[in-house]
Amino acid sequence: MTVRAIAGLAALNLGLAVVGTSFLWAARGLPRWTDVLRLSGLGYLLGVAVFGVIWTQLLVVGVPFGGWAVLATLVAATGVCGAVGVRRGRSVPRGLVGPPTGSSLSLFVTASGIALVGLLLEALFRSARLQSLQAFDAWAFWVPKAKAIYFFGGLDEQIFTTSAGPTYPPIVPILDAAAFHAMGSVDVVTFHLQFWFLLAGGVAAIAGCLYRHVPPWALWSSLLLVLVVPRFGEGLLTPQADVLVDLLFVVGALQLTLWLRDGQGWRLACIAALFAGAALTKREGLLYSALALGVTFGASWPRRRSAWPRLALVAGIVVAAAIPWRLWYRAHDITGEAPPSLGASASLHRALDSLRLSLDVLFDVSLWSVVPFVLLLALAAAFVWGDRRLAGFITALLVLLFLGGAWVTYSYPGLPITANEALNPIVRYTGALVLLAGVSMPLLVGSAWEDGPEAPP
Amino acid sequence: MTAATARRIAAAIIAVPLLAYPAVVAADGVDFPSAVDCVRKANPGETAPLDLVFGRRDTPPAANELLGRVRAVGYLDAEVRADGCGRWKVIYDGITSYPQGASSVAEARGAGLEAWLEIQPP
Repeated sequence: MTVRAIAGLAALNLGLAVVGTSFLWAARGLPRWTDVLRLSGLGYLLGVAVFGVIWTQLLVVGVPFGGWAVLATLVAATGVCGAVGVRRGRSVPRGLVGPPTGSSLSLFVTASGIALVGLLLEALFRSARLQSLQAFDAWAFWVPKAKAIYFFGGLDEQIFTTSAGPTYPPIVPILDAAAFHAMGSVDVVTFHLQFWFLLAGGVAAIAGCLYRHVPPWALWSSLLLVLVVPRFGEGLLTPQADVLVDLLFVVGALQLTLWLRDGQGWRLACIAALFAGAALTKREGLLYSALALGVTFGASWPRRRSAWPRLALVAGIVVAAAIPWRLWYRAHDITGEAPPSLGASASLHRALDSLRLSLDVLFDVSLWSVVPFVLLLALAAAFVWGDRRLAGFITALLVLLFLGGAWVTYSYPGLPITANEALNPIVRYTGALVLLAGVSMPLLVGSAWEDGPEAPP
Repeated sequence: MTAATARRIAAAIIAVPLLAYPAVVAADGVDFPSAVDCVRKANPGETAPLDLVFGRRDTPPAANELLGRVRAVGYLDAEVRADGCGRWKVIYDGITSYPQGASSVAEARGAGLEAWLEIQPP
């Protein structure tokens, strides 16, 4: 609760942003400081993913976790990325102001959007810094696991095998433990600010990635709409893994969408890191990533000779990052990540009930307001007036995600057919779908807008 | 309108509300909590449930070291608890009234320990 704790958290998250931005510099190059600023959110998310993936592997092999070890990881990761960047001939960013990219009106709309989202984040900061630990899953197992890493320096066998959700991947407890070190104590009040930083970084990542590809009015109105829907509004700062896995997946999926358009290879490096992070944040992360990559394999069929080996490499990196944690818990006789028999023994009746539940949850205005309906309109506009290929890709991904949620309910016979979050994860699962819808809407609307999107540099 | 003017207006659109909001909140007397907020010393005659507190430390090992000293002078039921503000306190919670607590404080101080009475957290 102290200024020192908040300053420590800010320093930790600045360190994560530096790691990710240096990753981006090595992969893409950042010619101007405005590029650094615009992509700093993406850099931050990449830093979180890279840091989490590295420490998951280190904890699995028994490297002790501590404050100095966290600092050393941040310095080493930045150094490696910097060395790769130098080797690839990346230049140091120059120039604060880039060439004009739009009219004065679009500049003012962008400024207004930044101000409105900034005000929302400021208000959330005020509530986050004094929030108590109330969410059930948070105090029941996410935070106890983080405390185990903090106090015992690793994956304490007793805590990690006897707590609820023993197969849940460890990135969030790792981030929490790093936050405890940065704050100087197990301050479970101030540590809610760590989730504020994740949210702020995620919002900046989405805005920065879309900024040059969509009209500003479409970008900021969609972003604000998604941020204030009831379910997100009340759960954005909950110290669990749902928001982080959604952000990592959605920003990765957004990069995939843009890669299909422009084919820029640096996006694949980002996608690999983000999806690997998602797969080690929550079990759904692996499913989300598999679905997104599967749809992209299909969408890139016309240029499969060049595209598929690259996509296969991304998929291989994600799987390779995800395996050690799975080996760790299997070595400790823990099972249950996948449903029994992949749900093959369940009935048709249950399948229909699961689909109906997913549909009811998706179109529940008390959870997601009008986002699903606006998405349908945006898809229709894009199919009629805009980029049909883009609309087809997003439709396929959203439909598969939707079916994936229904499959989760269908395949675990123990899950009752209910939207009660204590009994069935379908509402949390649908969060990723709705966030992806919110991020896709500006692209879809932008492709149908007669002025069209601005060309990427 | 020149590009430079447009940039200045855009910067103002961003900066004014983002600075004005925290400024208004601060002017309204916003409180910034500190670890001291978890220390609620008892005044003489306090009737709320009380703890005899021997000190706070930043880490469990440091608190355990203090606990050892406290137990060594006879408070065998003393224990270490998180204080809710990120620190660890060594307490004895067998205090039944303020006069009994004040007597215990005097005994502890006589044995070379720091001690005081605090109102139990809710």
